[in-house]
Amino acid sequence: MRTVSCRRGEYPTYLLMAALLAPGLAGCHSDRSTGGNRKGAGEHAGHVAPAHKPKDFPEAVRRLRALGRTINEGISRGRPGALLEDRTLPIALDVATWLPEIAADSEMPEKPWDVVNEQSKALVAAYTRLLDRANDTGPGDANLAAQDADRSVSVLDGLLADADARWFEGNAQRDTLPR
Amino acid sequence: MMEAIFWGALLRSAQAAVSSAPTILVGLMVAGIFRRLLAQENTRRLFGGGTWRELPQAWLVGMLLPVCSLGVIPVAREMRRAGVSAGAILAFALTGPLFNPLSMLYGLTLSKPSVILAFAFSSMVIVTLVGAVLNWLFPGTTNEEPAPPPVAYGLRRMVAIAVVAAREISGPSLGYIAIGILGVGLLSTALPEGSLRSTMEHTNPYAPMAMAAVAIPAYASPMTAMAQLGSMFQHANSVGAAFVLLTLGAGVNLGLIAWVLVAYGVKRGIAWLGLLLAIVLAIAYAIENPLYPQEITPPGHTHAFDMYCRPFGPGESHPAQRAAARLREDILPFERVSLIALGTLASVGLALRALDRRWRVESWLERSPDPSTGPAHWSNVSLPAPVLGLVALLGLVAFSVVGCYVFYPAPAEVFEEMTILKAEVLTAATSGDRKHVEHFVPVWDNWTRRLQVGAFLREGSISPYRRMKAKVFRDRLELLKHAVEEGDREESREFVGLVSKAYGRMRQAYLGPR
Repeated sequence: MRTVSCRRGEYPTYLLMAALLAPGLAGCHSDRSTGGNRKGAGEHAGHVAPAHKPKDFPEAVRRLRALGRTINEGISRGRPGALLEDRTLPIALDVATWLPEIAADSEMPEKPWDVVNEQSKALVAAYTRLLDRANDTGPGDANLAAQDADRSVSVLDGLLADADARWFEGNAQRDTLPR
Repeated sequence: MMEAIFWGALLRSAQAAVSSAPTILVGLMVAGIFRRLLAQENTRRLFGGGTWRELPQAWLVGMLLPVCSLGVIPVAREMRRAGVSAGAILAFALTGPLFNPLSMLYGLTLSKPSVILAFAFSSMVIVTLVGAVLNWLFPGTTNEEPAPPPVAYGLRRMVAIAVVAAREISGPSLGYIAIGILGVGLLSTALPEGSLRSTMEHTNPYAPMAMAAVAIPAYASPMTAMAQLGSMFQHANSVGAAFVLLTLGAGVNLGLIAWVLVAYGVKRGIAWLGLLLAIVLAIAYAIENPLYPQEITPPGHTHAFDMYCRPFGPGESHPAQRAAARLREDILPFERVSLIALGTLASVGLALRALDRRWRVESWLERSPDPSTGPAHWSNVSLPAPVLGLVALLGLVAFSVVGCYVFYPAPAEVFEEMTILKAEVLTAATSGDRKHVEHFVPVWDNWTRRLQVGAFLREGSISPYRRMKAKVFRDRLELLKHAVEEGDREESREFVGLVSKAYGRMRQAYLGPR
């Protein structure tokens, strides 16, 4: 629940404004479900990262590897829908989407970063196909999509193994403000 | 409190006057060129001459000329005198302020350049639809006035352009521009300080409507609107609201609406505004989800629209002094020059009006050249006025293209500027100087966009790596600003380190290792 202090009582009665502004500003007062990662009422509305956002590139790759294992298990059991219920797939999609930004927040040079960017796109495409299957809204083979995702994670694994550890030194991401 | 509201409104109006001065000057010049060089027939031809091409042509001319929604008023008045149709005039009046070469390039630094191209295409759809429907609903809206006698070539022709500009800025155009500027002040009185910070969220289904209500009385120069668009995408605000901000915030103001109502009558004016609102809002809601940047986590607020609200809270003790200081801080050298030029033109215009009863300058300007004058030297060829008019208009376009290279310098020069900003921001953040940080962080952010465009202009492309490095830096900068606003010194110092690191990486990406 969040209320923003739009002090309506102070508004002069401008005819032009009232015609359109009233429904629009209603959004200011509406209770919105903003997810668990937002600040509470009265606090400064700061930028707060979701809890599942990896702090750096090595952690992102490790997370994708672990999520990949869970996804493969879910598919082999023939229950891709469960991956949606336990939020594995949405989280995997988020991490894949953030990869280029997380990798850019390090000393990683352009060439390997381009590989990360390419694999991020491939992963997003694969996870989107899996999500469609899990939602029963899209055609395609879940196994094939999972294999595509595994292939991309393997490329990222290889890149991480060859990477200079100094690229990621002292690079913990800070996307949150103090509460 | 009333004192703070009053001085706040005055400040907002003055800020609008200052930022619109250069483009009003361009608008006056274009009006003079239309009247004295291009003449009525060629002006009509430039805008399609009543054929099916008039609407897309008006859109194209509007895209090329650097005018704003206030500067477009004298041009629209001149187009009406020349007998251009209402649909084409309003198509030009709406598109002219939305895009120009400078703002278009700036827009391409948004998270997805395709978005700005989609916005440009949508604007064409809007002006074509609104113009076509208007011409169909109200045929015969042209109102050609008798053409003024031609002015002889040479200095007189140049003076004649300045006289048109002087008469416009001291006549009805001044009134409409004043209404537009007054609207900005009135809007600020209605919106308490910072009250729009979370209104334009993607999750608020009314965001495009709220933006429409704010954007109509608001004034945003093309560059301001683009910068706000950038901020809206960075904060994952409503895409529909961003589109409304661009089309109505940059394209419309109360002065332009007043002119439409006076020139075309209340019925037609309301039909135009209603049609425009309906189509803009329909497109805004249609693009809300397809163009929404899913990869960004919305922070839940933005400071982008603070400039439309009251600048001071109720606790402000010296609003008059603060307003004067803010205005002095905001005014840029080229805006100062433009204001002086506008003031001079207005004074000349008023003096001419006072003289009109005894002597009209136009009668001297329009007098035929002395036939006793011998043939001109071969190097002093007299060019027909329309040729000069076309050259002047093309010159304006060329000037804005050259202006792009000046406004968006080479990366090495940008980093020289940013070195100063880095010192300003990081020192202020370390010492907890909130006001200094709030002033310089947007300036630094703006320079990163100019960096991207500057690199793009000179190298023909910009790699995703460089684009991402600039984005990461901007995100860190934003976090630093919020940390300072929260007043936590320890956090601020931590973010100073992160910003410094992100800046170094961005520098390396654009200039290579030192």
